[in-house]
Amino acid sequence: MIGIYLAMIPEEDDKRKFERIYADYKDMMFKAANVILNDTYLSEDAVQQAFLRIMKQLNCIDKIDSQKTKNFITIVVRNVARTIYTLYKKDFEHWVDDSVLIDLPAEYDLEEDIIAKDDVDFILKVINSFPEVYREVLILKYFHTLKDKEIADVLHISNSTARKRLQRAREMLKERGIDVQ
Amino acid sequence: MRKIKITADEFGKVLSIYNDIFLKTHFQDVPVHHFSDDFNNKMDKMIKPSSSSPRLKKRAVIIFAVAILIISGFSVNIGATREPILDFIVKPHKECSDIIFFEPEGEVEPNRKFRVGYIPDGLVLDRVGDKPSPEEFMSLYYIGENKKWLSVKRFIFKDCNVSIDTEDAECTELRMDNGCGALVVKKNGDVMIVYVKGKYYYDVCGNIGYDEIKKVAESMD
Repeated sequence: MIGIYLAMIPEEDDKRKFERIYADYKDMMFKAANVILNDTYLSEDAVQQAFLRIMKQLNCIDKIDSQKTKNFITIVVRNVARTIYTLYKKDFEHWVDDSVLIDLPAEYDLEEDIIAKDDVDFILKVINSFPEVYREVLILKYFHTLKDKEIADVLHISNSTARKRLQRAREMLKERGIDVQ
Repeated sequence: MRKIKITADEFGKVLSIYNDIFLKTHFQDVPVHHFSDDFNNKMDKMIKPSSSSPRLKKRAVIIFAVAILIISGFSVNIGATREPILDFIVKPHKECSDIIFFEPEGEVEPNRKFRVGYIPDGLVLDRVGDKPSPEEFMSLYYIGENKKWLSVKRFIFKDCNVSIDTEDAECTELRMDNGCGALVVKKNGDVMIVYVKGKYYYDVCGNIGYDEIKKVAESMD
């Protein structure tokens, strides 16, 4: 019986975690999806599919109310939305998703002087110029420190595709003079 | 071209900065969206099963435990029937056959008495041969009317190569419920069954016919 009891605790924790994520992030997720799909019905569909993925990847989420979690959820929902877009809106072949690009501010919080600010500026510009498929694998790998298999699960791609994307993203960084060791 | 060497950890921190800027740019103020009834219903269904999941989980654990018990029961049975099955090779020659048994593993249970469960009517015990360790050889010799005889022998099986007299005889493979070995039928009507069961070699022979010899062999424990 102890085994059963112990097995139930993480289940309850996961349930509470999932309910909180749903309550806190569903609106943000809708916005993230709608920026890409511009369609209420499809965006809601994307949010629902994203929740199904998140449900399976709850171990990747530590603190719910954090920028990291917010970023993780955004990556998932945008990834789902992009998949739906390619399925339903094939006519827009020349569509370029620049919705995610950001205007880099002159000032930002730099917790530690890890590297020179000039270098940070440069790296941010490079990352900002990357297609989202490569940017998201880099973020999942180096910011969320996920394993290749976990990245594949989050993005619903095969392990080999995840590895190839990562390899290509690293090559693109190197081509721009950034060597991640 | 600019060259930057950066560790994975430092790169992660730069990505963290990128993430902060990204979220501030796009999700600083998120308007409340009124989701459709269809969406709410689907999400309710998604969340509700997890609220009843402890009960389902408990049921699943019980089912799993029962399944393990059943499988364990089958495993015991399989072990019991597998034990006496030993491979062997029969090499027929003109005068004799070499029966090659695979050598058994493990320790032999010392001084284990054996019991012959079935002796045909009319046969009486005439001689007993008993040689204790290391072979633990035991021999029972029965006689009856019309010069009927039956010999039952058992000893610890050590040599994996047993030679038996098969002159004027036919030697074939034999598998029984409690062991496997060879059947030797001589032209004069004598029948011999030799087989290995566990750590022991058994030898049953006589002139009482194949069916009776087989019954005796199968009754030995």
